[in-house]
Amino acid sequence: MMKNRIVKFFAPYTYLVPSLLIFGIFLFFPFFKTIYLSLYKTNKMGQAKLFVGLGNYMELFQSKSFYNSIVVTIIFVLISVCVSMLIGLLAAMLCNKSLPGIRFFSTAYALPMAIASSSAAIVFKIMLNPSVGIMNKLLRLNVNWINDPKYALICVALLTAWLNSGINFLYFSAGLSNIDETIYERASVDGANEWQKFRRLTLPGLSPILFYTLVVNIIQAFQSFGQVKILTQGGPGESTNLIVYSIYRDAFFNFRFGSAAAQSVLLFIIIMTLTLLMFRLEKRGVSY
Amino acid sequence: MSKLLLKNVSKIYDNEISAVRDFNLEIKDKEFVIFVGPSGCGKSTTLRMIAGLEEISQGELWMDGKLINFIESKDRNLAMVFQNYALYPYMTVYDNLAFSLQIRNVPKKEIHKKVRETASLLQIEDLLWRKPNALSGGQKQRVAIGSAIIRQPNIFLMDEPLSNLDAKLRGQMRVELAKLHKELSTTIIYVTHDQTEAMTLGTKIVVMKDGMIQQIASPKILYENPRNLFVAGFIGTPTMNFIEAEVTTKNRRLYLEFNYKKIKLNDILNHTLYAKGYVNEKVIIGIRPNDIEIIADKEYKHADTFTIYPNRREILGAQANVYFDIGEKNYLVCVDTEDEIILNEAMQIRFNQEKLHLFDANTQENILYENKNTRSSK
Repeated sequence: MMKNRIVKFFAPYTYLVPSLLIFGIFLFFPFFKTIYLSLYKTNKMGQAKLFVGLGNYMELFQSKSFYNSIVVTIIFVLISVCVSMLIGLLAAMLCNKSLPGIRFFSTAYALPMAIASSSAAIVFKIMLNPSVGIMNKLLRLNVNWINDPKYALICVALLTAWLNSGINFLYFSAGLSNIDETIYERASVDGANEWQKFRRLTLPGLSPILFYTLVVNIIQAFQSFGQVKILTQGGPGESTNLIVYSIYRDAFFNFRFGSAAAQSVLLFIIIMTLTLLMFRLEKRGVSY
Repeated sequence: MSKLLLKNVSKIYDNEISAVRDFNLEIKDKEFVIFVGPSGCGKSTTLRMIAGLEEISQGELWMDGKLINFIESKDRNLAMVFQNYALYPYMTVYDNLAFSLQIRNVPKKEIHKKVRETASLLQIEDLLWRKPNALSGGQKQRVAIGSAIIRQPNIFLMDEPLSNLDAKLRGQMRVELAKLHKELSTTIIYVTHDQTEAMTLGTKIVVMKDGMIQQIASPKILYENPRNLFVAGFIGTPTMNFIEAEVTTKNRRLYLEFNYKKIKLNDILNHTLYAKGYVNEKVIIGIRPNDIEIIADKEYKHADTFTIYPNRREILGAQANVYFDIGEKNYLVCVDTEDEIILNEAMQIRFNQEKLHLFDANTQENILYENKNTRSSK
């Protein structure tokens, strides 16, 4: 009797063990370890040595470099999210029309999804090369794209935007094909022009998907790393020192694991707050 | 409130299948025109060409003396009710009604007034703040009609607006549509596959089949004087009986012979068939179930009567349907429910030859068509 109840109680948990194990090792353990490390000074091996409480955080709040990386990250997120959503939406709307060869274009627009960020960064690095790059050749300019603090951040942001546009395109295409075709026909007969149809029918119809992609894009943009690592290494100066890259640099170049851990925790808090905030706003702006 | 003229309008798709061929029609102001036909006959395609949702492959479309083939749908000033209603799902009923005014930048006060008026006309005032997915079929239907009539369009187009409703509601809406047409006094083009709807609503009916117009006429003329076999079979319930027969002659009198039965024709038919050269030709008799008389006197026999054996009776109310076989085929006669019918017992019937239709067995055209036209015009 007793045994039966015990088995009944534990059986569901045994089924969960494999996934819990994976989550535990790769997610929960690092997460709590990071919080733990952020309260300590470490040695060069990354072992906690001296408890400093919130000391690491205090240092960050007084560091110019940290504020800089926050500002750079916000600008970067704004540009890359806006541009990638715009490209995705525009491409999806173009491909929603039935034109000859539309399959080819659909594939082309979805392609960035399949490209690793670091390999795309290498391609961009060559394209943006001041002396042999195709960019300067085409535009007949002589700009040092990557090494000029004015352009470096924009370059990285646009590269990210293009990379993320593929998946956005896919989401938006799915969203558009869900909108009933006849409401556009009725709108035409009612006398609506293309812009009115877009604003009054397409946007509200897409709003759930728009919201979802916005959240995912923002989270993704905050976590961008590969393209910065390859393209600019945070430079020139600190003009592309995104927060994730700053964490990487603090941990593995400067061996200040405590500070890096503290930054990670702050990044987590920022993304968490933003996401919660957006879900709050969603209830007002999104119509289903 | 407009005139519309279709000249040789055709719709040919890429694969060279023509959905509509040589459509010629003049629609006058305030007419209630119905396109009716079985599904796939091109009636919806024609309507969509008028709406500008479908390109016109050949021919001309004129509205009030202006060629509008290449004018965009939004600039034609039409209003359309779709089969699935096509309500904007993200907007309230209020916004659905107001949409066509809002996009024209009509002042808010005026929009408000018109929405109220329209809503009260269609009795949907209580629903104004609901979203379409919270409405029943009949309510959606009203909203769709409301958003069409809120503005004064040149012409109303309706594409099977009642086909998604249940039978009872359809009957109600039919009455209301007819009333609406009177109140709005405007031109309506209405597509349906239901001949009852066509007959009850239309002032002018266009019967279509396989992309071709079969006949354009008022309900009464369509019923009494169908142009060919298809129209005769499509219009009217219960359906007309068709019997294949041969015209035979004996002593200068003509008879219709079918399945070992022989009926003598009256003077008018006698004369017409002689004149048109149908002696010894094959024809198809068309007789409506209401135009068959039952001879009460069972002993009575005459040259224009014949014997049948009724095999089934359906009582509908005041009237009843009685079925009988001639050869392999099943036929129908309408009788009063009070009439005494004994199943499987011999019975004499006579076709009312005044209302008899005869069709050419090859061309399926009505042999008496023009003859009757002149007769009705007298």
